[in-house]
Amino acid sequence: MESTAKPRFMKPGKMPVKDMSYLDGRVLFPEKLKKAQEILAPFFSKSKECT
Amino acid sequence: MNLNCYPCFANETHSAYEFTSYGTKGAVKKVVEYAWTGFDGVYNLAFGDFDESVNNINDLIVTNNGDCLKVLSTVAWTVREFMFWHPEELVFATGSTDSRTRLYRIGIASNLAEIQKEFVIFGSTKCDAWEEFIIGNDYISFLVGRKENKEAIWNRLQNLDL
Repeated sequence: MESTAKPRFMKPGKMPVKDMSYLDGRVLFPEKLKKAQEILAPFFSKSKECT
Repeated sequence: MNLNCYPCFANETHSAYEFTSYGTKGAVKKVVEYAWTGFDGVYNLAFGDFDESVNNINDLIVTNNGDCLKVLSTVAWTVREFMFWHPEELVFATGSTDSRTRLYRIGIASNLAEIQKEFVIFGSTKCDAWEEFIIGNDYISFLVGRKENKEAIWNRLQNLDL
């Protein structure tokens, strides 16, 4: 049953951390990232870390 | 921001979050990702259903678990959490469909006063110019940053920060 009580983590910086290593090393939404890059390209220069 | 949200967890770098949606279709694991775009300090926000049987995102289904507002509220909380740990960064977001983008726009508009206490939101209508979010405009993309960085962000968007 859903709880309507305010979760304790709602204060910024207090969200609990857990092991999410199953997500490491990959982009989960590559198509969405690509779309974002296309939209942002006219406004932002590529990071020097990318060159 | 006093919205009804699901309990949520962050990874160690606070760049990914997970929570479980409970609704008419049962329990659905959701993942929120903040992916670096390759542009200095700009991260793309994306979220979706995570299929544990294949250990990957399931982009092919529309969950319709009957709790989209609560899901969006939870995602909004991850934005706040991400910005807490990465205060100098910008978060970019757009919907995968027009209807989803409209839903984001409505959510931002409905909570704009609260959001603007800490953050500045820019919207783009045709991806050729940005402006500070105005209720009623049909934005298709959004950029969020901390409000103390507003001038620097605006200069970047105007290509003045060379």
